[in-house]
Amino acid sequence: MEYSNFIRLQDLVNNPSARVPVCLCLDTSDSMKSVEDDGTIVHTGRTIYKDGRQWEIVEGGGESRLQAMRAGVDAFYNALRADDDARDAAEVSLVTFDTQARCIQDFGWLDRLEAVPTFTAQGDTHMGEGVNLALDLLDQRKQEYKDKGVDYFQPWLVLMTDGVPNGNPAELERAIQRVNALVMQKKLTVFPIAIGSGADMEVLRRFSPQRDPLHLKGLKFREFFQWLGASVSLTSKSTPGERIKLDTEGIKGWSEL
Amino acid sequence: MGNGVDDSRKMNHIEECVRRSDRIFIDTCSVLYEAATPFFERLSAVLQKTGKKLYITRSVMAEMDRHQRNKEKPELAARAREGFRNLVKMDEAGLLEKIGNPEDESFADNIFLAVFTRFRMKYHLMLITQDRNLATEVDALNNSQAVNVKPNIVKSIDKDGYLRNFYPARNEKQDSAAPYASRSLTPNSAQCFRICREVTAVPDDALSVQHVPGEQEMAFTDSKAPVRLQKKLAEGGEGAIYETDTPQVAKIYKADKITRRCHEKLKLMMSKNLQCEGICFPEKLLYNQYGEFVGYLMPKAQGEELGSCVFRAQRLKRRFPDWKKRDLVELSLTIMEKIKYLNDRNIILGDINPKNILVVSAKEVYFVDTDSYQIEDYPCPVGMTNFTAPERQGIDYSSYLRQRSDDNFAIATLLFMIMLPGKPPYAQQGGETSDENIRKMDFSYPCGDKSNGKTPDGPWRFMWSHLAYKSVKEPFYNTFAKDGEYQKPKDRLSVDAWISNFSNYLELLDNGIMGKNDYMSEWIFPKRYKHSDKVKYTRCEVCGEMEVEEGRGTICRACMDDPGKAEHYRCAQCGTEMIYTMRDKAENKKRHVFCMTCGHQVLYQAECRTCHKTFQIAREEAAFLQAKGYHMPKNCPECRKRQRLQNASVLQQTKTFSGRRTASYESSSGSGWWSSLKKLLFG
Repeated sequence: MEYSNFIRLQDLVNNPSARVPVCLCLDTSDSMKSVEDDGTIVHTGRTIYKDGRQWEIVEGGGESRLQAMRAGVDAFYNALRADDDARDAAEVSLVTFDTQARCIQDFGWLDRLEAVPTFTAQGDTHMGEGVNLALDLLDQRKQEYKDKGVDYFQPWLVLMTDGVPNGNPAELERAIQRVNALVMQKKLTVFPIAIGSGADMEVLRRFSPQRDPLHLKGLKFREFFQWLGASVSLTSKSTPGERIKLDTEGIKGWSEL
Repeated sequence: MGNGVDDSRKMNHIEECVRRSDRIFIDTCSVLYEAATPFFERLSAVLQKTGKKLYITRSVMAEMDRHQRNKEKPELAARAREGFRNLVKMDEAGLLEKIGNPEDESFADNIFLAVFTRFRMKYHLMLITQDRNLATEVDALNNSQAVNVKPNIVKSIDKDGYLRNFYPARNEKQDSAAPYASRSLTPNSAQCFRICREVTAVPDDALSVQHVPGEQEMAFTDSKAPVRLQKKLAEGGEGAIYETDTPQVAKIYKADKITRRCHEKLKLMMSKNLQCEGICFPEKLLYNQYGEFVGYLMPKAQGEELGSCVFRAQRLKRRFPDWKKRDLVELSLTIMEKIKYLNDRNIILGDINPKNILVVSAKEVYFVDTDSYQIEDYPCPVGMTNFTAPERQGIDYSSYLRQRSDDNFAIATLLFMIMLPGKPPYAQQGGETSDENIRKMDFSYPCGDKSNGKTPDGPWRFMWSHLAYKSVKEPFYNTFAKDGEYQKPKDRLSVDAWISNFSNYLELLDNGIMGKNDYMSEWIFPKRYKHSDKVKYTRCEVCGEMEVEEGRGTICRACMDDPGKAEHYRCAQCGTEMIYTMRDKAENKKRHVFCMTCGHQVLYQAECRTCHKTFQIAREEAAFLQAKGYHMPKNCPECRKRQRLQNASVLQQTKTFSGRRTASYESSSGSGWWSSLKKLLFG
């Protein structure tokens, strides 16, 4: 196994507290390079076909979606590290999907993380492959928890995309089936998040039978990740086996349902 | 132990005991005790100072003489000789008084009971003994209803040569000996609440209150005395807690929680003058400026929530870095004493919640949210899944009156979660609530031969293995397991029984007995299983140091997991560091060629021969197939699986098969050894 994996197992022995596993499954396709029109953009007149769509090439503009998302992820990790209990309990995996599904960061003790790894945008949107990889990582980590007798709270899967999946359709179907099965058995909570107006809401809805996909207003990644961080903290403070009420009121500020 | 302040405090304790006593007696076992010599030195100093003497019966001296000459037990003989030396030194200093005849009763115990019973009207008597049963019996003389009895003191010598309290005698019955360290006598019936069968009819609807005072506003007591609410300390679902301009704090309810039931319950609670250090009972009711009930005053609590500073392993290590197992046991006893105070008066806690117990130290604990206790026919309307007994899972808490058996289950759960910090007794994996496992009483820790076979290896199991068998492990198993002896509600151990068990355990730890068997039993987080007398240990073949249990191979746990002894290599594709430990090898785990990411990369895509769906082969799988010399599969994973199952049922009929894994990939081209074998067997 990977050396880093081995360390993770040892961490379970040294820190046997109950864990909160969170999978961030993030779209890093070309479309994430797009910027919102904040009045400073300059159209160059050129266009380009990427990620299944036609785009206008511009200069200027504010943060790109990718930058905003990265900043949000940073804020998330910081929020977790600042909370004593989340530091011991939270385990975050970062999977990105574009033309490739990549595990940027596997589950593990936050304390070991020196810096949040970076990722860039390029290519298509192979969502199914991304979700499958995220679920595989989760399965492996759950087995490790079981082997070491470490309790864990219901895992969360955060799926963020701004486009339409254009990977292998069979993989997409498989991913949707797996997610649905887990949610129905109460073994997974899904947060499907749509970014921008070009996101395929239908697909996101299929991933989440019990919760409507949330549409991120503008680039309010930071707000979402702050809420996520607070929810993880709340969960870390409770005892495994007790029902936890997430503060869904707090979501209303940054999303539309 | 061993620091200056502690030592002088303990010396003062010896002096205080001596000063309070008219006659001081010592028992044979204390004279023979290992730490007797330093104690005798200290006692001599105190006796000199106070002008008192140590009384010894001649029968004790005769017993000592017999031990001295015991050739079969040289250790005992040596200690008896040492004991005699100590006594002679005292005698020569004029501090020893010998009484009685050497032939009196060969069992000195009866003498002490007789003497203490007879002379307790006249003298304050003190007995030093290591014998718990004798100590308990002599101490019990203090509970007598007779008038003019002068209370006696009973102490034991501790392992450093000072005096300590004795540990009450073992008693598994529900009503047992006096609690550890506390002298609370059993309350008489006037001090107890009634036991009721049905929930009260007093309504629980919100009363209409004109104003609920908040920060910096005024509230008033019964006698109209004003109380200013100062800083808000905490806020919960029911209300908020404020500092006041009195030494107490105020709990002010939210408007919708101010009900007649709440008001009446508090009045009832306050009617019996309950006093127990550390339990924050309501002391005075509070009203708003219109005379409407809004809350109450209570003593201020200190400390951090049990759930926070003890139930999170990492936090525990940071908050109490010096704590050992015995501190957890002492903490348990401190908490149980208070529970005993309540249960003795027929108060059922109901919601024994780690948020409601605040910890300052192992000896100092506060109980808060006392208004939620169940009293007479006022139920406790809240609870937590983990602390709720199996027969009550799923039932609304405010619809029934709990019984002792409910508290007994919660107490056992609380103790378990202290000894295995933060770990609920019933396994919980994946986010479901524990209620299913609790209902089924699926307890995953073994006891002797009994086990449900599901115990995972790892840190919690190590902790479980190091617990004392009779005092802790067995009672836990019997309470939580489906086939346990106390699994029926009425059979559950009461708080008194647990106090007795844990006192035992504390003694075993403090006397060094647990540690002698295995030093790791004194740690909170042991790194391996407890060494057992029944198992033989051999030296690890790799490091030669640690011991390996017989039957568990030849390599010790440390080496199995040691990265220094493992094989380090790199992902064949991207160069990420990989590791294959001795444990992996021993457990026959797959040695991955690629890291996770590279291994997942899709190399081939093909159409399934059977069902025509497209499927993919990732890099790691492809490497595995190549290494084994198999062809690329022609079918998708589902079809392959179906084939495998069909083949497996064929396999069962062929006993010649050695049990090796069959090829998972069916090659319809007919090549490959599986097909050849099939041909061979079935034509």
